[in-house]
Amino acid sequence: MEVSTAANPPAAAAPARFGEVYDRGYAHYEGPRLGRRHAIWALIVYSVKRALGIKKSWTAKVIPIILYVGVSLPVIVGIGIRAFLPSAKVLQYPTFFGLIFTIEGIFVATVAPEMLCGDRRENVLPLYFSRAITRLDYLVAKLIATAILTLTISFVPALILWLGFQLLEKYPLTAMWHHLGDLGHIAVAGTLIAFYLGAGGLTIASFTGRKSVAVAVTIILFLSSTVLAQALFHAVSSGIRRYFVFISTPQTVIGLVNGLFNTRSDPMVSAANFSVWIYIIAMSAVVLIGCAIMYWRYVPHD
Amino acid sequence: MTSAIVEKPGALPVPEIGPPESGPATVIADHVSKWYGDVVAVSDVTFGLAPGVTGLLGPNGSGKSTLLKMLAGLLAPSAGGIRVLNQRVRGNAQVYRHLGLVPEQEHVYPFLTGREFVRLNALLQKLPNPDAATARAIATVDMEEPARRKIGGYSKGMRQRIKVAAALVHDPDVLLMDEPLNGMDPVQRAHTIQLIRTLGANGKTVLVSSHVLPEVERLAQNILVIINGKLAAAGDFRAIRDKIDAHDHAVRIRTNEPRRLAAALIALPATRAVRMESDGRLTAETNDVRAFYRAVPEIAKAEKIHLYEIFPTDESLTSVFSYLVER
Amino acid sequence: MATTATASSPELITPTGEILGPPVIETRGLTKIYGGVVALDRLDLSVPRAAIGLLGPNGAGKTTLLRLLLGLAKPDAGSAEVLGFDTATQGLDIRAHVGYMPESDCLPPGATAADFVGHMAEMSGLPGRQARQRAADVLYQVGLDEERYRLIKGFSTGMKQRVKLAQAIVHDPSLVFLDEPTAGLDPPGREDMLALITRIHHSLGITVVVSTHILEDVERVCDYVVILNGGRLVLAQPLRELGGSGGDLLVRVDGNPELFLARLAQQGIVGATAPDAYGNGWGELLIPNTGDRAYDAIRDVAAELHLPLRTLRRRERSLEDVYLGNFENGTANGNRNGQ
Repeated sequence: MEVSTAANPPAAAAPARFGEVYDRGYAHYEGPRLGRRHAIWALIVYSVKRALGIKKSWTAKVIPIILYVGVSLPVIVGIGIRAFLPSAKVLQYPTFFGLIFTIEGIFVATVAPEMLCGDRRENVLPLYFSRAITRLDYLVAKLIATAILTLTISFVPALILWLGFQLLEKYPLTAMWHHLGDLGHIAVAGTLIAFYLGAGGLTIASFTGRKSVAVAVTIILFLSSTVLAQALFHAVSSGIRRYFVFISTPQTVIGLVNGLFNTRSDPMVSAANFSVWIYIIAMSAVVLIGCAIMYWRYVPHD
Repeated sequence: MTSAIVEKPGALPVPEIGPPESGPATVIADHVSKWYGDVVAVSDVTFGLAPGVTGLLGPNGSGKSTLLKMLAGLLAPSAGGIRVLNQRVRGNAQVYRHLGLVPEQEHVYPFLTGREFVRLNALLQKLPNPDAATARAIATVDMEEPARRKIGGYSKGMRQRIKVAAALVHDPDVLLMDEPLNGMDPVQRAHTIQLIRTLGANGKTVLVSSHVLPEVERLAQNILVIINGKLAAAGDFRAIRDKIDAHDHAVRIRTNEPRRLAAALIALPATRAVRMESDGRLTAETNDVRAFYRAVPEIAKAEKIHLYEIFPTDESLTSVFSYLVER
Repeated sequence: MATTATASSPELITPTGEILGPPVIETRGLTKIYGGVVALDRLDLSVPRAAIGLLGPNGAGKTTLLRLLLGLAKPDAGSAEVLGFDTATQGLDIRAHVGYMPESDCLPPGATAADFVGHMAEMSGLPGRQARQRAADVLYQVGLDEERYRLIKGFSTGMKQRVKLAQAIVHDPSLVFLDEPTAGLDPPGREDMLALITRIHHSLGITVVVSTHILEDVERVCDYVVILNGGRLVLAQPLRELGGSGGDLLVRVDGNPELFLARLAQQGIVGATAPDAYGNGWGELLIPNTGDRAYDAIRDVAAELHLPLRTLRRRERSLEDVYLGNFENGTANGNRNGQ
């Protein structure tokens, strides 16, 4: 060992080498804990993503993509015709809503079951309910998620159509101001259709865990309802037959749209001769009843 | 008793599981293999089961379930043969007179009562006195009261027991049971373990497949271990442990003078290591168990040290199995 | 490996079995009736922070108790507190700090493990980024490496159980309920899961309640036992206190047990072959425990006869002995609720 003396100053101490082992183990969570609202929002975002097939395989994405393309075509065509053939007849909003009804129906038929059936079938509900949310929170999140999605297929395309038309005008801002009424009607129609179809699809989906069953039942209901309504309408001759229009989903929608934009496009609807407010009430009633049924299915559980 | 090789006339020797005094093998698998395309589920497995209880063990995906299905005649081997009570088992309805199966899946009819279900099996077996046989079987599994109720209302453990009763109704000589204790509560488990032991003691050949090794330790005299489609071990699990050289045996010893005993033990050639545990006990490791276990009392007696506990810590079926899997 | 002594918990059961600190679960007269059937009958329970085994036949009220403790149902009478929160009014607070691992299949096959566990973390209040981080960490801690980024669809039972466990602890709960955690697992999987549970309790300091029918698992992992039957409490005690002392001595020798017993008898010690044992060539004997006299006699006779003495230990009451002792009168068929 070296002895340091005055004549023999100590060599510089060997530098202590740095070495440290870090604990990679489980660490307790000290970060923020957000409340129910954040959880509900997280569920909304997650549900929307999964319904659109984001983070899933391409087969899950195919149908939403096709439907969005399908709903964009009339928008593009409508705006295109207006732009390049100014003398041609302009696409009317009621016609537009009529054109996209089938697409909306199929969209709801695929999205609503995706919202509810999976969790039920795969038995994930107990895991959700063991979280810091209530059953009502879960349902509300699913309803909002569905509303967001259905709005994107019914209100948003019409909104884009309207915007397109206004921007093609010589003075767009004035045009927008002029056609604000149209925008209002589009908003009412788009929203009500979105909620009406969405509630219908969700209510059906809330009864089963099998997605395919819910999809099939929803589509059949949307399609066959008009057949049934027409058949009854022609079979019965008394005044009561005007009420059959509410059995038919497409025709209820047409009734609403025609009422808002003051057009006539469907014989049965014209024959029924209801004011637009009746249609608004009828569709809202369906939404409320649907929500009540879903509440009954999901919430009270001692 | 370790596996003894028994010569069968005109056939290749078959390792026989079970004490020779219990009789000749009742279930024989002779170079049995099963493959699905490229996948070999079971590879050249040969053994003979004598009367008594044998445990069938193996990790998931080891071919254990496939083997069990072949023994039950539900699947045909791709190669080799299976004989139960000296008969072919595949496609041979006769053999089921003497063979009882308790499958893992829930193949019971929820709308039947327990009694009806067991009686159905008695009728299928063409028993001369189905009612008496049914009553006896139900009494054996302790289900007299619930037998009146529909199976649909049974708990999982009760469904298991009624399945066992149905499998026992014709008093078969060979019983194959797949996870029979699944879903049973502790009382039902204890009763069923006792039942299985009694069946074995009465000369039946019982093969029980289970993942819960502490229970297999209690109910099986011998074990068959299937790993990766092959037979990895057969026989008494302690004897198997002795044959696993890769791991020294760990023995825990409690004494009033641990250090002195430790010093004496380390002097033995059989001792590989001695460790002082924090609670004052010793853990010794040895690769020559017989010599070690013989030496411990002799040393203690000579040194006048009290021995309070000698316990092999890695001789449980659980340890043995984990050693087998890693090889 | 397996030890009969209770695991010494850094929590609030001291080595002498003393219980310190506030109970993590407390019920007073807790009653719940479902359509005429009394699922819980005036249950009084006080459970310390420990690794708790919850036992009882099907229909004993375990599931109902769990639902009430999670605040998912309200009691018909009595009250309960979990982590100091009242279950009837503060269910959300409880669930924010409690994890649950169900027995049944409950994972969506179409999601990846990391995605799903991260989502569950967010549902328990963690902000998005931290939720993903915790999920990845916890999945690694339970033994899933790159598998955590794969779809749950392709997972084996063992892997699925790990994901279930991960979602139960991802939000760093103080208490976790595990329902039959080893169900469907093969022996290596069982060992891994039991080791994980032990780790969760001892290293991570989380109180665990394991509901299972496999008593050996409870002996392995737990240091406190609660037994329910017919909605009532049968027993709630530290495992250590159940053992009892002064049991017979279990002796295993290679070679002729008869000779061994005869020699012992010459010294005035009368033993017998253990009734339950499979002989298989080892002699398994029970010798009455007369203290040092018995121990020394065994030692000396083994030495004299040059017999390998493979096992010598005091036979303590196992958990099964205790459990069966409490269910003696043929309640094998269940409780009053007829399960």
